[in-house]
Amino acid sequence: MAELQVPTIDDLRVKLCYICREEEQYDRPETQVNKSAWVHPCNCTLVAHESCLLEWIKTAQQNPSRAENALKCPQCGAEYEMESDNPPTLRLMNFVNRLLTIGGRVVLAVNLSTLVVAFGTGVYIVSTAYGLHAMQEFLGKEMYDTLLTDDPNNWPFHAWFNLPLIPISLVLSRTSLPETGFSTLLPLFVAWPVTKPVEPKGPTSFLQLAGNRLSDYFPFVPEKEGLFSWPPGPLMCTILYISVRTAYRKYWNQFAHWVLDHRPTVAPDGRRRRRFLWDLDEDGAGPLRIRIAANVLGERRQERQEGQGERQRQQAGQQQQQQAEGQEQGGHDEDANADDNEPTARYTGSSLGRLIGGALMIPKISSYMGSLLYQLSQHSTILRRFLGIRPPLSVGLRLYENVTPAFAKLTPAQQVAAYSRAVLRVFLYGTKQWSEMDPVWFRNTIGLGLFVVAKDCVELFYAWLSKKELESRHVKTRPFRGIDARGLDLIPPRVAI
Amino acid sequence: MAAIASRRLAKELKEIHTQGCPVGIQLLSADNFEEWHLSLEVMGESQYQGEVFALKFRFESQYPISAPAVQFIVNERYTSPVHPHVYSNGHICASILGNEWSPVLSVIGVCVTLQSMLASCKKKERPPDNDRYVRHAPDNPKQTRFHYHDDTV
Repeated sequence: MAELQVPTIDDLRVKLCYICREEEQYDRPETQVNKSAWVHPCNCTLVAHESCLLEWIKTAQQNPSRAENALKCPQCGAEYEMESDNPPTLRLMNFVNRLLTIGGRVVLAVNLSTLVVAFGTGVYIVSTAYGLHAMQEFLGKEMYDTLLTDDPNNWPFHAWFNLPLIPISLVLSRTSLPETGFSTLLPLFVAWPVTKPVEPKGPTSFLQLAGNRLSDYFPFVPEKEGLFSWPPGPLMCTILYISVRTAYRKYWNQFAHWVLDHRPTVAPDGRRRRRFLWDLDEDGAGPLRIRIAANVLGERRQERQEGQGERQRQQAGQQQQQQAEGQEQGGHDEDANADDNEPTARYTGSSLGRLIGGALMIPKISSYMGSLLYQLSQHSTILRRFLGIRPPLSVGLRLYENVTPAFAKLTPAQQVAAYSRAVLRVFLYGTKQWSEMDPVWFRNTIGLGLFVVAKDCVELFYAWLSKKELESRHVKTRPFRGIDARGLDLIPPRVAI
Repeated sequence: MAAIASRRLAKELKEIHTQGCPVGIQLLSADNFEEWHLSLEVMGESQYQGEVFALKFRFESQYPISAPAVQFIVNERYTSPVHPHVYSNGHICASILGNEWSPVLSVIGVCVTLQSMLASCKKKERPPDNDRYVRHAPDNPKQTRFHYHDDTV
């Protein structure tokens, strides 16, 4: 009863807009010039012109970081309640607008992914084309035409994976991760030797492949030469290649360390340490020179350290203990100078170009070396036999020659035996095409191997010369010519007694 | 300058003249409705005893809807206080000058808030990213998007 009525905005004697600070007094009409309505939107005493408050809310809502406080009283924190005409049409349009926003995001995402896919496709096509070129260089024209051809319709399905992998694997094989590089090439070496050759007269259906034509390329019957013919098949070669390569790397490293007279740095946990350094504006000496300089300097420091250790040893007189300590110290020193001695993969702009360019040159080089070997083999029977050079097949493949017509009549046991022999043959010599055609790939492989050895030798020689030069470096000392000798603080000349 | 801004600033100025400033705050200059200068001193015991700073307020036509640009004046007479939220070029990282500004605040209100910010400071030090910020800072601190760390200091 006492509280007859809760006071409202209209009951205030003085109204002060907290935004524009304009005042309106109940008993002074001359202050009521502003026609705007007044609002009391919250729980505290703040009041404002509605127009001012709406302006504030609108501005605050436009700024994302302020939007959440836009509908709150700055003093008491109460939420403002907004009322507005929100007809169904506007709500519908708002909804559509939101949908369009989402749609816009989808379109953007689709566009971006299209871009990525397009770029990827481009890379894929270029890589495949390069892989094709590499195969042609490596296999020789004849075998290429039998196994692959220029027509993608004839390609075996794995060509679509293996061809584009070739350039990538080649580049990887030249980085300090040769293991990875090789493993990506491995499926290629495994898949191709057992692949059915391309049927020159149009594509072959799967049924034919699985059916009678299998014998066309799968050697059920031993060749006339017997089980041990030369050269070995591609599968055999792959295995040989891996083992030869691994052994070569190992012994070559030892040899190189012996020539350059330094120990390989091995991290305490036995792994080889690698550092990657990106330095796109290189200057001065190439990475090789720098590496050698680091090794030489590291050794000099180590020698000094060892010398100190020796002096300590003499002082203490406890030889054995000190020796161990000295060694330990040497070890620490090596650790401390890890920056110098660590094998560093230093990538500069030009070294990156050399890496990639060199990698992509591999097929060309191997093809060139192969033909060089071929030229040489014209003068040497042993070389010709070693490379297994055969005259090119001008009349096509002798596919049906060795197929036993009586194969179907064999007992199951004999059939199993025939199959196993065939599998062994494929393992050793590859399919018929590989064993019957001129093995360009074999001499290319040998050629590439020789090239690698030659290149390593040149590099090592360069490294050795650089090392010699670095070791012989001294700063030249000069006499004080042209300087007044009286101005120098000289040792007094010994007076003859 | 919009009418609302100048009228509101005129009102604030009148209030300052009639009621005076709170202790430690003095109006240095308010010759126009675009830039005012005020001096600021922390009263009582604090890290900044005996130091007097000057604040520069710059108003846009949208004031008080938009916050004023406030910074400590750094010249041959004044320096910026060494405080974890104040950069050596005078820029202040305070949320009330950014996304927590509201028209209920005024020039004097901002001064009082900054005064208490200084008064509550325990350790005089620059913001950790001071050098980097000052090197690239825009002239107007409102163009910087500050990340307000903690409001306790």
